[in-house]
Amino acid sequence: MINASVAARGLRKTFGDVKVIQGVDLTLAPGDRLSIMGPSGCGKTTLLRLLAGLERPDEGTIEVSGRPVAGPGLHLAPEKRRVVLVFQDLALFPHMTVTQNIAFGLRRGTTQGVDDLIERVFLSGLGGRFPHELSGGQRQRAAIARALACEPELVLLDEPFANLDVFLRPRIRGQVRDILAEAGVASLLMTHDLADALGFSDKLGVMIRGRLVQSGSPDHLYQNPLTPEVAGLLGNINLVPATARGYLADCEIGQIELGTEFHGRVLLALRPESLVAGAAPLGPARVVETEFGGDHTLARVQLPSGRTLAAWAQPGSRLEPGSSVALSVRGAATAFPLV
Amino acid sequence: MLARVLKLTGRVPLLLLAAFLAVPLGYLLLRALGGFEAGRALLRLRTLELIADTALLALLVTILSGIVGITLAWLVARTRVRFARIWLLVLAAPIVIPSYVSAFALIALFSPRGLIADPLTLLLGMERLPPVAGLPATVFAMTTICYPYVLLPTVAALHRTNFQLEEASRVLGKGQSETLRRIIFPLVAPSAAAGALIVALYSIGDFGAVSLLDYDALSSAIYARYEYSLDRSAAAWFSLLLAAGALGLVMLELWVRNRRPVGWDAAATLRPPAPVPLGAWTVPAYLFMTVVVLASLAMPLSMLIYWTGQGFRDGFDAVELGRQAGGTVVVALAAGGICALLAAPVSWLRLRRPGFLIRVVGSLAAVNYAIPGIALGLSLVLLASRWTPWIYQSLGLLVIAYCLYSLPLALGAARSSMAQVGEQLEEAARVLGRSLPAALWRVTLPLVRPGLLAGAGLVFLTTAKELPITLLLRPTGFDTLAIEVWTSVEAGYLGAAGQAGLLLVILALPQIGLVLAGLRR
Repeated sequence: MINASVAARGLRKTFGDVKVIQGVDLTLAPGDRLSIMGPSGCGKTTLLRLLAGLERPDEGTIEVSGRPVAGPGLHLAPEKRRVVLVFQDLALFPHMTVTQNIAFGLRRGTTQGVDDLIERVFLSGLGGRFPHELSGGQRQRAAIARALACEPELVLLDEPFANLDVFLRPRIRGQVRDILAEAGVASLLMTHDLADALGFSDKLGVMIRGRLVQSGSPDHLYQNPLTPEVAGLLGNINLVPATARGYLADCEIGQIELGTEFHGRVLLALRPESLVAGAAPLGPARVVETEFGGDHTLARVQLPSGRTLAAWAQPGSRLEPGSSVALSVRGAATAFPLV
Repeated sequence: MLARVLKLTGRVPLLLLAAFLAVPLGYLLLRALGGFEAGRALLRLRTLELIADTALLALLVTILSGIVGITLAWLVARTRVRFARIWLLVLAAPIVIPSYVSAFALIALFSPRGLIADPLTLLLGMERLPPVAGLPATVFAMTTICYPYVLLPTVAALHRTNFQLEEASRVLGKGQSETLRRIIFPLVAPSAAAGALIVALYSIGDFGAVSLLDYDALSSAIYARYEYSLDRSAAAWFSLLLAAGALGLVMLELWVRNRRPVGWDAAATLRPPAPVPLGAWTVPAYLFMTVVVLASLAMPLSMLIYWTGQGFRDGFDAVELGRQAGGTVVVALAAGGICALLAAPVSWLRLRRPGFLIRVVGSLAAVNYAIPGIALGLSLVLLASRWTPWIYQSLGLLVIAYCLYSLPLALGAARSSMAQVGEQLEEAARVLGRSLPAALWRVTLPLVRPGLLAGAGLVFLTTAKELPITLLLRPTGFDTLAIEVWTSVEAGYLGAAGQAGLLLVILALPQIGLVLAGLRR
């Protein structure tokens, strides 16, 4: 069996009395690309710093290509790990040119390699510039080239697109993804932005309060979230309490079909697009406001109980604030047991 | 038409101020060119020797201060030294000690009349100790008070460099020492170099230590030419040379300071890196810091205190000391007050009505501060004795000289506090129906008052410790504490020097607070 590029088991880290990382397991094979998403403060940066060797885990082990680098009584210095970190603000050395920055990372010192890397990240002709003379996207690619120059087993990226212009982001994200794919190196991207995560890799992890809660294909996570928080991170969601009896559940909206069998009190997760609001003069709910979204219209409706839900307006029906609507559910809903 | 006239007359005060600020260097030039023969006479080997000796002193003091300052900065800012903040305070404190007190301490300890002269003669088997003088003694006296000028900016730079650059270097596969050499040092170097150039500026112009320790440098030669030679044009020529050297160093300092790469510093939110363990270097590190504190702070202070005690035994003249302290405080207060009053309108104009004339005023003020005190004082004394005998030998002229010398200190403080008061606040007052003067009086002035006071304080401290200008321009019979220290050491009265010196250092202690406030920023 080929050694995994990185294998982390049972990582824990506490700062003061804040448990930042509470048991994270993670394995990436060579060439794997994984995006981990999570709200700010969930421990994303700390996890990267543990892997890079900039922090020491309280518990757990890390192996890089089969070689233990962290564990009980073991803490390999960051420079000896072959794990490279691309910082959020890139940390390009301001007193060095692009060429010098890239050459700094070089393991086998030949300028040939630098020229090659500069070409690979589309910076030809800019080697003599200083970081502050580059655009945001060029800086991004210079940082990637510098990271690749040290021939890492694993590239970590900490919100690298956060400081970029909204309009540039998708393009630069794609470029970085392609450069890393071509290099064939395992990479791990941390972000709080779903678009960044989806644009970078086809494998997604969700991190909440120091735990890697769920990972898999974005589609799978969207359809089958393990917790309401995962569901919420992947898109707009309505959470409605209900009572389940097998594959059916009763709630304020009516009887709803479930994807899996449940009994007792549950919380239903309903995406707006599976909740359809149609104009009905005698309908129980009232429209609070509508928002035109191009291919659909989002309606915020209020139930008699006072709860408001986000639903898609039935195509063709004209909804206005105050009009009465009836809600129907398309397909099966995801339920979470209430404890 | 009226507006035009008003606009032109509005410039008159600024023009007058600019002319006034140009006097010291201008007259030095005139006088030197007028005494061209004396200038020709300076083209001798002796002059070259003087220049070389001055440069040698400055070079040695700068190099030693650089080594000591950078090493201490690294230890205090980045290693696991315990009580680092207290060490930093104690190591920075010698900055308040004037050079003539530093020289006094050496003389008070090692000279033939010094504290340990007797045991030392026995130990060395000598009849009589040689006087404490010459290059090594001067270098020692200057280095012990100059290294903080490197230490402080280097510590500030080490605290402000982007720590992530170091981490980036580590994850790119470079170890601790290579990161230090290739990342940290290049980023901190411009700050340290700017500090070192201040040291060089300070040591080419120093008069106190150089004269007390009988080292032949330009500054002591200027004083000797002035005091004992008939043709004072020679002194003017030397002063001009010294001023040129000083201005060159200032230019270099500005250039170096602007060499910091864009983006070298970071948001203060980043967590600083873990302090470096010292390992086998622990004992040498603490030993080094202790030796520096002993030599630069403990020795001068203990000498001042010991000789103060001796002074009491020899017959303490409280009236005389009180008169000198009073003289010091009066002239320093006057200079501080005038400078603050000038600084308020000048810095306001500089920010709100920028233009050529106001820039010239700022630059001329900076030039006067760069010119060593001995050269500035000489220019004024030559000018007054020949052209304006009615203010020659007056306290007024002395205070004017102090103001010319240290106006930039007040300007700098006023300007930074003025910059924090946005123009919008003044505009808000105008929109609410106040005239411009009323807006300035009610809104701007109260907000910049702390800055003006801080500037006045800096001028006060500088003036209180000032020696060469005072020596050249004081009216007969007027004494300050600085004069008392210097003349007493020259005459061999170490007790009297100790008393005046101790009082002076106590008076200057608030400066430590200013230094630390600067570090926090």
